Amino acid sequence: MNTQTTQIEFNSKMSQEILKPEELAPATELITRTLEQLDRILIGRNRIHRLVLIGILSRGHILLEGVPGLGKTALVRTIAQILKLEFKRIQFTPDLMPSDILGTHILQQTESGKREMVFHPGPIFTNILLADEINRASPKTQSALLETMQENSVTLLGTTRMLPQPFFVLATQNPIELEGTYPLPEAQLDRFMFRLFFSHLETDVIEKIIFERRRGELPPPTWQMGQAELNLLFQTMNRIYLAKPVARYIARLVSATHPGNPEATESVNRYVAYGASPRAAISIAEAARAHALLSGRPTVGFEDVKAVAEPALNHRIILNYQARLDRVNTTKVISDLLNHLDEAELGLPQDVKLSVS
Amino acid sequence: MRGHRHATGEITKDIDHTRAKKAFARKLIWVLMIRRAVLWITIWLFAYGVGILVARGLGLQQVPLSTIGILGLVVAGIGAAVFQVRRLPTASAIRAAYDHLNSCGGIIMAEEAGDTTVWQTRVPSRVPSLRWHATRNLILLCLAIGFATTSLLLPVRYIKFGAKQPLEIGQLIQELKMEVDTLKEEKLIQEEKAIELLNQLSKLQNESSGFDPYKTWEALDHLKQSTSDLARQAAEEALAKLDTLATVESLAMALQKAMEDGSLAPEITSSIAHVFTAMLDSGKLSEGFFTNLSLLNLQFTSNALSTADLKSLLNGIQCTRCNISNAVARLADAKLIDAKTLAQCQKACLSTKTNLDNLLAYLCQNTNGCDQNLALLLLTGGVDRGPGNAPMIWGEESPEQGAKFKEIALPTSGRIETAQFIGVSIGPPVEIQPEENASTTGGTLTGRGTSDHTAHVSMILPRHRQAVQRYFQREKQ
Repeated sequence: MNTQTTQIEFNSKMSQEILKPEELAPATELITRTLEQLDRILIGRNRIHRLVLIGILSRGHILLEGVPGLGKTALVRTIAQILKLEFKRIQFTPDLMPSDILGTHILQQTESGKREMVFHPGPIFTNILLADEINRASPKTQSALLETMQENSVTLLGTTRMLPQPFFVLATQNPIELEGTYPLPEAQLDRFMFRLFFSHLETDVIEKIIFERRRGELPPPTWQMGQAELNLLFQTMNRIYLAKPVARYIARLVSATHPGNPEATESVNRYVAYGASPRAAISIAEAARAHALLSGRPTVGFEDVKAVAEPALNHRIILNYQARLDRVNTTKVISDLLNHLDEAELGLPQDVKLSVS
Repeated sequence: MRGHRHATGEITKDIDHTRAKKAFARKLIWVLMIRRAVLWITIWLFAYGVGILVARGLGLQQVPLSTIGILGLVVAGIGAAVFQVRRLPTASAIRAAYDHLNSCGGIIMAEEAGDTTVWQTRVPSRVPSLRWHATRNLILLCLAIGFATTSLLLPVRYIKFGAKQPLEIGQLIQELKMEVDTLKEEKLIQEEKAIELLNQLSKLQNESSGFDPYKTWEALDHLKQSTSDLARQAAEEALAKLDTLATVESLAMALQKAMEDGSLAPEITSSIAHVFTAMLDSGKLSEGFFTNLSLLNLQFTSNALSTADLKSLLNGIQCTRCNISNAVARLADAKLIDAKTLAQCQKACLSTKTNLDNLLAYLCQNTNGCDQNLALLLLTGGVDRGPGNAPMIWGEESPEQGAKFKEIALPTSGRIETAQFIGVSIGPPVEIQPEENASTTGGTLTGRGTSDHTAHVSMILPRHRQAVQRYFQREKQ
């Protein structure tokens, strides 16, 4: 009963707080300027820039995957510069220990002559943490990030310390050098909102980079976002309205990633071993809100869900060996799912088609 | 319709989303209802066509097929509409579909949460088009209509191929009825039996069916066989009676001639009167069939036979023969007997026994003591159908040589492959003869044959022999 009352109050509050155009305009303006800076500094990665910004607005962690030299680290550094957030980088290596990330207690003598254990925070205590080549650290070290990514806190010797807000982990990993690496466990992968693949740049983009930039140095941002402006963005994000049919669509989409589900496609039933978790649905919903905000709308539509579904699901769906044999990846499975799933759940027969003339 | 200029400078046509949504919902409902109605009507028409075929095949002409068809169409249409109305998408789903198709980004869906009028002016409000790919459904509907129409217009003869149809046995029944009537008229069967047979024929004619023709054919064959057997039996009896009458007529004519000539002794006439009576009795003219046709008068005026008596007897015989012959002819006309039997009867009707003249002449010359033997002489001899009375003769018993089984003791089997080497004797093998008085009582070998080497010998059936052989071959390997 209590839960129902809370839900009704939440819906009622949301119904009264659908953003007006003038309320949404400042946030849209901030986002536009941020994207302009990103697109100007990093050429040829417009889609990645938008997805990274969506991840940040959704307070999610992002796993960047690609071969070396594609600008993963540069992207994270630039984001931190534009958002004017504290940025730290950890180069993950096999001998990296959890204390190297979280911090450690050191026995020190105080001015009064007493000795006490003093906590020296690790690099995790920052706003944006770049975990470079995260798959090179041992599982023990990787697991040190589990609590921080989910709870935004660090617990050492029974003491829990909150991390500075906002806190984002932007990790990178190299998909081709697998020797001496430790693939991320599913629990770790599930904590990343997006997994973004960095593809090779087009020839024109490379030409532009080497023609305009000496030694490839990035130009400094001409505009930076302040703390208040970032908070404004987060507040606006909280007021983006998610309609019930869209929420149901997200739920059906995630459920349909499980083999045997009534709405699962043939590719899901054939190639998927394990489907996405409820955390995936939450991530999609948050990311869809951010996508709607980027699109200048106060409400989430089906298009927003479709835009963020692939990066939110591709690391949460585990394919079976048949998929390896048939060279099917998660992108194709998700694409099939998005194409076949009826968004509005009208339940129309197959011979009745809807379109807009 | 009015225009709004946005910050981007784009002008969006402001159309009433409410009206557009209603139009979309209306269109959606109509299309779904029509589609469902077409489906149900198609199913009904196929079912109706099958029903028509069944009804017409069973000969249910009184069923109002057209009324049922029209009522069914109406019910199917209305039922489909009601069924579809109860399964229409919810208003929320329709709104979501409208939002999605117009790329409104959730603005329309947010109506349920609050006022989005300001935002609605920025999104297009086109009525989504709905396309029903009805080719397959319409083809099926046309086929159903064609099937129902064909079922309705198809001639009955193409439908009633499996229905109950009487056999074409009218002519056969008429022939059989005529045969039965003939048998009844000739008094060969009784009145009740004839009525029973006629009833059976009528029942067969009514119950004969194309489903099971063998039963009818078998019953008709049985009736036909019964009447034919009866007629044949009557014809054979008529033949025998005609033969007897021919004999009596010949004797009577010979006697009449002898009496007119005066060559016959008067004392023999009394014996001959008894002879006539005995002959006619032996011919069993008063028994069996055709008894009603006999016109014989054996009441002679006195013990002695007179010329008038003989004349009267001859007339009776002639009339009787004529009547029997006519009766047999009628049986032949009714095809109850064949032409050969009829010819035999006609021949017997016209024939006379000429060899009796010589007998009479002999009697006339040797009257002494002949009167006692006359009946015996006239009534015996010749070829008749009496049973043979030859005695059965039992001779010597057949010898058993060559037929009795002779026991032969078979030689011991040479199971070399199962023999075991136990040693080498120092001398030649000696055949041990069994002692004459050797006791064979007791022990497990009691009663065993010479070829048994063990106390327990399992019998190997022929069907197991191959398997046992393979088993020992495998042991060798």
